[in-house]
Amino acid sequence: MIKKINSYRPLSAAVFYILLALVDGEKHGYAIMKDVETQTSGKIKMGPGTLYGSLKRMQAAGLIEESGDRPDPELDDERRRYYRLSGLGQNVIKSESQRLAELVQVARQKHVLIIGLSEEGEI
Amino acid sequence: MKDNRWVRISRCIYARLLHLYPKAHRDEYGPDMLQVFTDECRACFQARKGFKLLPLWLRTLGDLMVNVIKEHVSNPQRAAGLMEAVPNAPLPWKGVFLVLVPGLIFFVSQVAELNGEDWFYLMVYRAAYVLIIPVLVVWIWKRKFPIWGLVPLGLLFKTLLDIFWRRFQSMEMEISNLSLFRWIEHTKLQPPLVLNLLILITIFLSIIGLLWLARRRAGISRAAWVWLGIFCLLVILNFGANFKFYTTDIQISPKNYLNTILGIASYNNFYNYGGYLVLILMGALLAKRHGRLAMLLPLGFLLPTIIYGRVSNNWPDVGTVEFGYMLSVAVAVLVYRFFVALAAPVWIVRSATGKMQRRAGVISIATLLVIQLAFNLGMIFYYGLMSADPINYVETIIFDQLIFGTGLALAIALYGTVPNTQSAQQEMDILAEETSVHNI
Repeated sequence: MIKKINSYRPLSAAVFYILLALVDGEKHGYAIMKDVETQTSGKIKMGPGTLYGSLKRMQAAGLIEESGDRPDPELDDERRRYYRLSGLGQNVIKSESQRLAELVQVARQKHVLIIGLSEEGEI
Repeated sequence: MKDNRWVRISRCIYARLLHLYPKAHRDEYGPDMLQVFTDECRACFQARKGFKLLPLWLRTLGDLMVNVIKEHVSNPQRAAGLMEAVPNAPLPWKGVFLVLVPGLIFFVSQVAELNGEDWFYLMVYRAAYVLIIPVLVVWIWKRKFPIWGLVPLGLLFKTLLDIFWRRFQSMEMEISNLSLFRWIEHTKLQPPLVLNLLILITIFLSIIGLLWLARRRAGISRAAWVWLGIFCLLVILNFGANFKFYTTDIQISPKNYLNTILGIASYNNFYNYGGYLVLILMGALLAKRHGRLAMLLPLGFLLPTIIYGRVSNNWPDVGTVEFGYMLSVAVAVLVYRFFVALAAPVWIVRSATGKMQRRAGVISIATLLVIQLAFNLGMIFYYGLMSADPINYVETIIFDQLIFGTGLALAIALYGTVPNTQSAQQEMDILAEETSVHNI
C-alpha cells in the first residue's frame, strides 16, 4: 500500500489542489474549480480542460470516485457529476501533505521560510 | 434561466472548440466541460462590468491549447501504436487517412496514366519502395506492425515478386529510376532450369511452413481449409489449361519440353499464385494483432496488379467507335481503381465489428470480381476476334479472377479465426492504466 501511495508522489499542483478540494466532501466540477480558486486566493484558476483532464487521470488511477449524478437545486436542477475521494486518494493526500509539511519544516530550520509570512509575502 | 447573448455565443463557440479533443475524451467529459465553462461565463458576466468575458476567453484558449495536445498525446489509442484500431470500434479517421495514402497515390497516377502520361509505371515501383520505409521505421521503433503498413507491405511484396521474376528471365529493366534501389533491379540472375525448380520448391516450402505456423498460433478454421482447397484446385486447373494451350498450339521440341512445362508452371501458375498464397498466409501472422483488418495486405497486392489502365497516348476523335470503346475502358479502370484503392479499404477499416468487416470484405470482393470480369470480357469482345484462341483468353481471365477472388475469401476466413479481440482489449486496458498513472 505504501509503495502504491509513493508511486503517485510528488503530485502535480492541479492534482494536489483537487484532492484538497475534495477533502471537505463530494463536489461537482465547477465547485472544485471555485474551491481551488479560493484555496489559492485566486492565484490559480483552473480551466475546464485542466480540470477534467486531471479528474480523468485521477479517476483512472483510483484516487477519486464518481459518486453518481444528482440534481443540484442551486443550479437550475442541471444534472452534474459529483466526485469524492477514494480510500487511496485520502491516503495519498495525507502522505503528500506530510511530505510537504516536512519540507516546510526543513525550510524553516534553514531560515528560508520565516514564520509570520503574510499572504502577500511581506513580513 | 435565460442567459445573456454573449454567454450564449461563448457557449456555442466553446462547444465547437471541444471537437479538437479526442473523441473518447469529448464523449466522456465534453458536456461537463461545457457546463463548467458556461458557469464561468455566467459568473464572469455577472461580476465584471468592463472587459466581461475577454479575460476568461484568453485563459480558456490557453487551457484548451495545452490540454488538447496533452489529451491527444496521452490517448491510449495513440499509445497503442499510431492510430491503431480498437476492438469493436471503427479505425479513427486519422488512421484511415494513413491507410489511404498508397491508394491515393495510385489513384492520382492512374488518372494521369489514362491521359497518356508515362509516370504511372514509375510510380508503381517508386511508391512500393518509398512507402515501406516509414512502416519499417515505426515497426522497429514500436515493435508493433502498424495497420497503415499493411497496404504498402502487400504492394512491396507484389513489386518484388515481379522484379525478381523479370530478373530470372533476364528481362531488361529500368523500373523505378531510383538510384537507391537500382541494385535490386540490376542484380544479375540467369534462368537455368535448376533456378526455376528452386523457386518452386522455395514457394512450396514457404506455404507449408506458414500453414504450420498459422495452425500452431491460432488454428485454421474449416472454412479456411475449404477455401484453400478451392484455391489450389483452381491453380491446378489453370495449369492444365495453360499446359493444353502450350502443348497443343505451340510446337515444342522434346529437348525443351521439361523447361517449357516448368516455365508455365513457375510463372503462370505456381510462382505468381504461389507468391499470392504466401502473402495471404503471412497475413495470418499479422492477423493476431490486426484481426480481419489484415485483409488490407492482399488489397495492397492487388493495387498494381490487374488493370494497368493505359489506353493510348492519343485519344481518337469524339463520336467514333474507338472513342466510345476507350472511354468505357477508362471509366471501368477508374471505377475499379477507385474501389480497390480507396472505397474498399475505407469500408473495411471503418467497420466496427469482425462481422461487419467480413461483410465489407465479401461485398468488396464480389464487386471487384464483377468489375474485373466485365472489363476483361469487354476487352475480349474488342480484341478477342483478332486472337488465335479467344476461348483460351476467356478461360485464362476467368481463372485468374476466380483465383484472386478465392484468395481474398481465404484471407477473410483465415484472419477471422484469430481471436485478437480479447488480447487487444487487455492490451488497451493496460496501456490506459499505464498512461493515467504516468500522467498523474
